[in-house]
Amino acid sequence: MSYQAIARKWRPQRFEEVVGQEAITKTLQNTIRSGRIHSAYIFSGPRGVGKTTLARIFAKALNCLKTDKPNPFPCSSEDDACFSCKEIAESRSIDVLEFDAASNTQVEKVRDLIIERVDTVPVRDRYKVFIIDEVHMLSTSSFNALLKTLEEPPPQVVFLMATTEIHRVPATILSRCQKFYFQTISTEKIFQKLKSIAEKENVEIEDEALWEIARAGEGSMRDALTSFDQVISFASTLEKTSKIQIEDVVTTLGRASSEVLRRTINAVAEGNPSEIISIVDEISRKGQNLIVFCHDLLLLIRNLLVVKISDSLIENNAFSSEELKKIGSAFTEKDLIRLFHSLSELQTRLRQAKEPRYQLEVGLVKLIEIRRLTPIEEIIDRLEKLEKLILSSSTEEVKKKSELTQTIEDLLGSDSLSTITSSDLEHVEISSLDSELEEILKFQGDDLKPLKNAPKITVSKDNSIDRSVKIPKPPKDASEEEIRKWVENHPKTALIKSYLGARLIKVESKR
Amino acid sequence: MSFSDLIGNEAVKKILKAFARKRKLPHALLFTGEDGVGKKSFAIELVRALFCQNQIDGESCSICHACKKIRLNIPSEKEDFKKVIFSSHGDFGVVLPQNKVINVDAIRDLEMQTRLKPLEAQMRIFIIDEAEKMTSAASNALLKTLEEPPSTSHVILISSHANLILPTILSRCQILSFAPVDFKEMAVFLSRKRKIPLESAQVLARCAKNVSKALAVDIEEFFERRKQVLEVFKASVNSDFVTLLGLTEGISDSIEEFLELMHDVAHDLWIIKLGISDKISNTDLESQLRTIAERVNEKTILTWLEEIEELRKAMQVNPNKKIASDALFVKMTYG
Repeated sequence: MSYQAIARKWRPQRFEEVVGQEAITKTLQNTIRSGRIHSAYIFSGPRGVGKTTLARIFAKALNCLKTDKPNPFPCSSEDDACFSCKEIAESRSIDVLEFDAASNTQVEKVRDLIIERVDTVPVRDRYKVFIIDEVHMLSTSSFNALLKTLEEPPPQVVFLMATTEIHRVPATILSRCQKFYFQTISTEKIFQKLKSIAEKENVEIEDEALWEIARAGEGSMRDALTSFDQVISFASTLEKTSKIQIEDVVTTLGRASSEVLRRTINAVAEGNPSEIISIVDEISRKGQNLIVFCHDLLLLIRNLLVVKISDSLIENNAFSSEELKKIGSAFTEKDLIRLFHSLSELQTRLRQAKEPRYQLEVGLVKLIEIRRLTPIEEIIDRLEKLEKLILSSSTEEVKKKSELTQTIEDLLGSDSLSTITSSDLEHVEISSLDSELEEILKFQGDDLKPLKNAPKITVSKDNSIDRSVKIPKPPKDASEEEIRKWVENHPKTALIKSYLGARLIKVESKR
Repeated sequence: MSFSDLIGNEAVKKILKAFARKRKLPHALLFTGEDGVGKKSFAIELVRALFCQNQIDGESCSICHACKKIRLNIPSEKEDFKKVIFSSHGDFGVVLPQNKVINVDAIRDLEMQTRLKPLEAQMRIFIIDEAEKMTSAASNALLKTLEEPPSTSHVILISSHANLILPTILSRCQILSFAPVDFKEMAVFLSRKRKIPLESAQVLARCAKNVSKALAVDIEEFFERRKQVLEVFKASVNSDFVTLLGLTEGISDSIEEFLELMHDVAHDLWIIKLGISDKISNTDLESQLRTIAERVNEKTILTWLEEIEELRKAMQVNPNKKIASDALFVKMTYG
């Protein structure tokens, strides 16, 4: 007995069955009702949200034989469907041609299969419909070959195109099409659909488990249905008689259980690296996907942050909002934001890592370090004070050496300021802060070197300057060049230069 | 060869056996997991069990006609990689990468082959090995085949880097993830298979991380190499650059293996530094590692880990190996 995947078996056959794209289904139905049928449509959106499905339903609606004009309520396959609808459902209709653009990218194929056939009238049905799936894969010349046909096709031809990557479709094609942007489907709606399918398929499964599957779909119905299929077929191998539980889902989909996530975040809160190492050991031994784990952890931190701002924003989640509050109490908002930045960077690094396990371990242990750091804002605050002090001293021309160095030492302290290294600064992404800090650090003599190690500002008295030398004032009609020379040679200038390491930029005459 | 000869991954084995027993298979499967955990062996065994005429409780008999015919043929001709490579069994074909890519031609051929009815068995099964190596065109060409193949055709994708596969492909596959084989189990297996003492088998198992590599590796060479790695770290903490440069002479041929070992050792040092030394891989070297760890701080070890990781990534694009390893040692010694 051949077996059909749930995602295929329960592919919607009527507009009403399509979940989560209400605006689009309404529009398409109205188009059909009013008979204002455009010659080309393009459907774009993420994977598994119903693009191909809606294209087929639309084709059915155009050609349904139940009514003598396009029918906004085409036959579904179970009941006494008309020939046309039945054939489209089995994809063997003679007037609805489905074309896989990804395997037929060459212009010759496009000419043969589309352009050549456009001119023949529909054999039996009202419209000749071309469904071009994965249209973004067509070659440039294929796209260009289609342009004229798309713009002015024979009256009874309709093009329906579907793609996940609309940015790869040339603008000249897009401007000839009506565009529909599909959205991801809410977890709630996926859950409802899964529940109804579970009932029809006689699968006994806990609601909690279904929620987990719906969440794993991340807005894609097909992802959720494929996972559901997997859970059903794997659960049946375990010969379990009871209902499918959330644990079964978590293990078959290779996701980290909420328990593991809780342990991880607690380990970070308590600063316990050995717990983190054993958690990573555990999940990699189970063969779970480390990137998915990182992603789940990221989601948890996001939720911790959201719960600090507002309870109502939390979607149905593996953790209740009370629990999130409890976990979150160990962190400040700033902590969480820093953890989030560091983790999302870790996630991108994991993708290319040669030794992902080590990367994850090091990355998670770093999270503990991050919590221990003095917040960058505080450091900047202190640096700003320092900067002001130095600047004000320069305007008063010269301050006594001892006084100045004393205050600098007060400010820096020997142990009050923790060392900042460039790697610790990575998680700060506020550009204004960055550039400000850079300025200050540059003033200290080095880019992003630990402050402690930066050379102390020392103001020394240069005895080589002889103040007694008198230079004659330049005459009243002296040229700029001469004035400049005079200023350069003046002992006062030399003093300022040696104290502050300044250099002469501009000379302005008061006269 | 039958399922009972394959070690590890009992849960997956159970599922595959159930598929074989019912002679029913999802139309698209993806086997993921680290390199060398047995994804391909499991896949081939699954095919054998499904096609076997005297299958007993999900296990193939390995003597019948079908069982004998199912083998992996690796062709020598370049042109052959542009097509599905069939074994002597007409219903089992594989697609293999050539020069690190799976060409779109091979996938188009696969698409054509899936449309044919089975010749001898009740179904046709196609394996795409190292599926992450499909070009963008190849991946996209596979999409429609994966979603709605004829009911008698099944595709099994195998990949150790599933995150590089197009999400639209992943969403069409049922995913089976393979866990790394337990070290203890592997060590027992290795010491029996390679006739080495259990202790060295344990170290080998932990460092090689997967069965196929542990079976292939030359044991003496492995221990010799590990000694060199240790020398590198010792010389590096002593800032003994002359010794380091001397060491690079010998290793540039096998630098990738060398770097992998360095990665393990550096990771062990870090673990020791964290104070959880019971988690290290090179258990037999613990005291030596401790002496090294005492002389560096945690930050330095983390930088080492990062440098090694970077260099290992860089190795994929064929740099000058000698210069690359020299550069690494300079960085490790002088920070």
